Amino acid sequence: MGRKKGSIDITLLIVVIILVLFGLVTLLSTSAYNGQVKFDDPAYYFKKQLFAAALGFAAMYVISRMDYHILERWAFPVYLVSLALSGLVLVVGDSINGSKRWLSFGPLSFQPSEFAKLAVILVLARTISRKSGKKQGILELFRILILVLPIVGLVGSNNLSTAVIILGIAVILVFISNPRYLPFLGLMALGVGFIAVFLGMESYRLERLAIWRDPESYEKGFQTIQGLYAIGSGGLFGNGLGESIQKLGFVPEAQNDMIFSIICEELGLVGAGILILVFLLLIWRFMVSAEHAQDLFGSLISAGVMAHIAIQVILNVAVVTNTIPNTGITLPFVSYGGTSFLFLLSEMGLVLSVSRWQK
Amino acid sequence: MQIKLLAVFAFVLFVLVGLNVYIAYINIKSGDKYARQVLSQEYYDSRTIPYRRGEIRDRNGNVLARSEKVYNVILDCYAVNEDQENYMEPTVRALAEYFNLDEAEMRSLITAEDTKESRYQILVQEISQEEKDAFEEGTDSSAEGLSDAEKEERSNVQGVWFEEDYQRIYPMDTLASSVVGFSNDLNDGIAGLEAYYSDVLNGVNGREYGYLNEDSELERNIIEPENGNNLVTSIDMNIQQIVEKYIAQFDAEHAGGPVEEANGKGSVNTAVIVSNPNTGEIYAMATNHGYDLNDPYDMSGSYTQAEQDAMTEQEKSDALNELWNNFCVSDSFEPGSTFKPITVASALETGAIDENDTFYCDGGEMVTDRYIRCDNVNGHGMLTVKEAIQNSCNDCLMQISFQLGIEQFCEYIRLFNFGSLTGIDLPNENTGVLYTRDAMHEVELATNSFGQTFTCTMVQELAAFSTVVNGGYYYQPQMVKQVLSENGGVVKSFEPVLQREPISSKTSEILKEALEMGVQYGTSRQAQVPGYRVGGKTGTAEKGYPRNQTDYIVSFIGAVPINDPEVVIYVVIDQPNVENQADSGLACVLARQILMEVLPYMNIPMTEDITDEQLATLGITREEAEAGRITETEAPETDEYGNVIETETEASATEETPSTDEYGNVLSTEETPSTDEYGNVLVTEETEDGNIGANPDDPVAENPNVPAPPDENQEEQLPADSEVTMEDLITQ
Repeated sequence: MGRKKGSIDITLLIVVIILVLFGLVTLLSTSAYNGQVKFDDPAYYFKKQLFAAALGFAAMYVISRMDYHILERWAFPVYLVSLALSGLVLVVGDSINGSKRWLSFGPLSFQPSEFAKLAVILVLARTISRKSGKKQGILELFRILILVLPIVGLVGSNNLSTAVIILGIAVILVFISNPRYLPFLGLMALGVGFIAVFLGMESYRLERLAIWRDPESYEKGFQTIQGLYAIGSGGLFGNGLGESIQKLGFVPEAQNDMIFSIICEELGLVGAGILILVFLLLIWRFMVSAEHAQDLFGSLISAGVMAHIAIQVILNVAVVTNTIPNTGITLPFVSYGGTSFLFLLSEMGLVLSVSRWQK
Repeated sequence: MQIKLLAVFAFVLFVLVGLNVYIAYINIKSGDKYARQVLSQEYYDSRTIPYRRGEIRDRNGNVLARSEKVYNVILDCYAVNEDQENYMEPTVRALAEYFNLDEAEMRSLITAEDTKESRYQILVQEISQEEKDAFEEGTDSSAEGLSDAEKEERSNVQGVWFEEDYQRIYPMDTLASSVVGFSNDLNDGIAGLEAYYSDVLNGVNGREYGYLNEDSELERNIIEPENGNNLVTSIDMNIQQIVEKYIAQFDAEHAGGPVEEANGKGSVNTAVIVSNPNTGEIYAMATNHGYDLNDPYDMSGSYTQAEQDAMTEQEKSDALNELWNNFCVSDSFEPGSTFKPITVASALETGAIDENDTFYCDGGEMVTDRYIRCDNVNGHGMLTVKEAIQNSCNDCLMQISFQLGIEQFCEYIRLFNFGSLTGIDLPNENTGVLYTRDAMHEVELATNSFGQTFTCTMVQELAAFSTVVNGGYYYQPQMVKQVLSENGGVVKSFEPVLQREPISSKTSEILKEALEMGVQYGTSRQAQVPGYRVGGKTGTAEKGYPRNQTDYIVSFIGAVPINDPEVVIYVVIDQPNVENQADSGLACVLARQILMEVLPYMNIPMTEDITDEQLATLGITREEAEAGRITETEAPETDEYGNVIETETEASATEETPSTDEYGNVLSTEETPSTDEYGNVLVTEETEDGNIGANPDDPVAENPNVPAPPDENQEEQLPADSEVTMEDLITQ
């Protein structure tokens, strides 16, 4: 396989830039009230996010310029570092709202679980591409999944949602690389059984199910119901950018997980539809990149990023619309979160790099 | 692999389109309902927790103003309507029972189109903790011994909750009302210290709001309110009570007088300040126009209901402002002879006159083109400087002022802070009005020298006089000693503010001797306090312009003990409600009555013997004079909240056999002090009827030809250097 250098995927780059700009504008609108109330500065969240965006664009540029093949060698060390950081955060992490998810480096804080997603994509892409051509039995399938279990366990011990995303990425990558269908039906059945047992183990998870089915009757359904109020009051074109009422303390921490509901309120069905369309465009470009990648390693990187973005967007929108029970998953490029922003843009850099070496 | 990629993409596409359709469905199905919900839930999530406004206390910690927690009853109509059939009637019945509300009105509130979804309807404001507890107890469905029906009824009381608020309480009602002032429901100070220190007393509201924890569950978070700071004033509640007692007594004694403007009181205005000359601290400040701080809009003390009904809004507002006005700082008047010590001190200080100089009084002085008379129209004869003060001689003062000269007089009157704000920490301070240097000529100088034709406030005169007797130090008058935090920590301490030293201690010594002579042998003899060395000066000022020779402001200002003053008292009676208003003896007697009780309370020891001659002059018995020696007024007992439990000191007057003295005045014959149930010695009440004849030594000069004081408004409009001619000022 000769390595020929092409140009990067311009469409993907434009879509990413549009998303980032859109995300920053809605973040400013959504977080201004909370910033004012908590920090006396309406642009508090916006400024931090802007800083992360600048850092992220720099990372994206650097990564997109480099040859992604060298990452094949670095995939395992990166994975080990990610494991170490995820372990470290359990011991010395800072807790915000009661959960240890952040590592502090001076004024900066860092969320290892976001880094773990990137590391898992890399290590799976390397492992699967190395084994391609060999026998691909069910055993092999499980062996690959077992590889990510340590990180799933570490991250999942205090951040279940991210662990689910990581597991999802792994399953999709294995699914794509494996020509068989039947084992995946079995896997799905296993997953459903596992979830049932998991839910039954602790009653508060069952309670969450009950809240999901009837959020108005529970005090803890507050966030969900407020998000629905926001979506419902938006109408076709919304109240206009910056005109949300629900962000004024009713949807708590509106700049985080529930930001999509505020987008619905301010920009309406049309605005939300356009945003989802942009995400679809992005996912489509990932797919194209995966199909035309020079080698399986590159192809699997693009597919992994695709899986990551798709899972998060779907789960976030599904939670906000109360289609599934509440779980804390952010909307990529839009929700507040510096680490997430930085690594998302790094992943974009990876895909752009892959797109430069086409078949 | 391509197929599988496509399959994943197709699945994502399908799900996202599906979600988008679901969003549209939510909008179509519940859009209107949710939109209305958003608008109606303004009070649902976050609410304000009010701070408590700080207390105002006297110097001993007795509470003059505090804020008590009360509750507003809120009805959540939306909650009741969630199951109207079951909830409405029990809820309405319970509210009617406990808060005396109209059942029909509440039913209409719950069912009316515009309020039925409201979550916040204020039903009753400012109920007490007890009332709230009673309601909650009465609707507690888990109480024991209830029948099932009762339980059912109680558990169906829904949608009623209580919002915290604070109500301002003034435990002493009218005491020191013009000083303390009051604040409204929004914690804005409207008058007095409440207004001046409103920001210090106020705190910051807290908030209760929801946030999400890591499990995306709503948790309630509370930002506690920051309560306001407390004020410790320099007021001594006991001295204030004594002062107000004698002002009220004066009002009662002279209620039936002929002066119409007095409106059935003892005078148009009676005002007294007691202070510490060595620090500027005010111990007591009172007028005869107090009002109930717990009901400051009640004008029944001054107007009948019919009169109030006839008032326009403007008139009502003016009348209220008049009611809340503090004469002591906000009203300026011509001080009269109480100003003479300032003129003499200035002249001595500059060296314009010498202590041993003598002046000849022939009953008046021809100044420029008019003849200005002395009190004693026949002339006092040859007087020393001190005797001029002792006899309150206008003629001598005029001569002294001529030696001092316009230039230096103007300089010194300003050094003593006349014409400027004293900076006392009370609102609406008046500056009074002086002649500008350019507008002042001989006639103005002559009349100014004995306190006429310019105006000042009581605090200005008090601060200036304190300077004369304390060795020459001008202290800014102060009402507040400390600002304390909620927990008692000192936020700020107000130390005495020495502003300047207009005169030397040597000058001060001379004046003190002269002032003591005035009380011992001169015009202020009625102000003698048996057993104490008092120095002071009376004032009998003509009031109004053109002069009508009937309206006077009489006053007395004095210091005790005069050799080393610890207390200064200033009594002003504006148009006493008597036939002959020009009787400064009225002010002297009032000052003496107050001092006789205040001095023993302050533990200022008696140093002088009480002579029969003195008692005869004052018209009191030895028992009365000595009663003070054993009189104690203890701080009233307070409960843990600072409420006064027992303040009755004067009402416990014991059995008396009235006897009369040689003047026919009814005397109190307390032989032994009586004690109350706590063993405290009770104050024997003065029954002095004040019927002491006008002091023949203190006649009043009638000088119809002197200029009027500069007009306040006119002065304010004119720059200091503008020319004001005599014609502008004299209209006759």
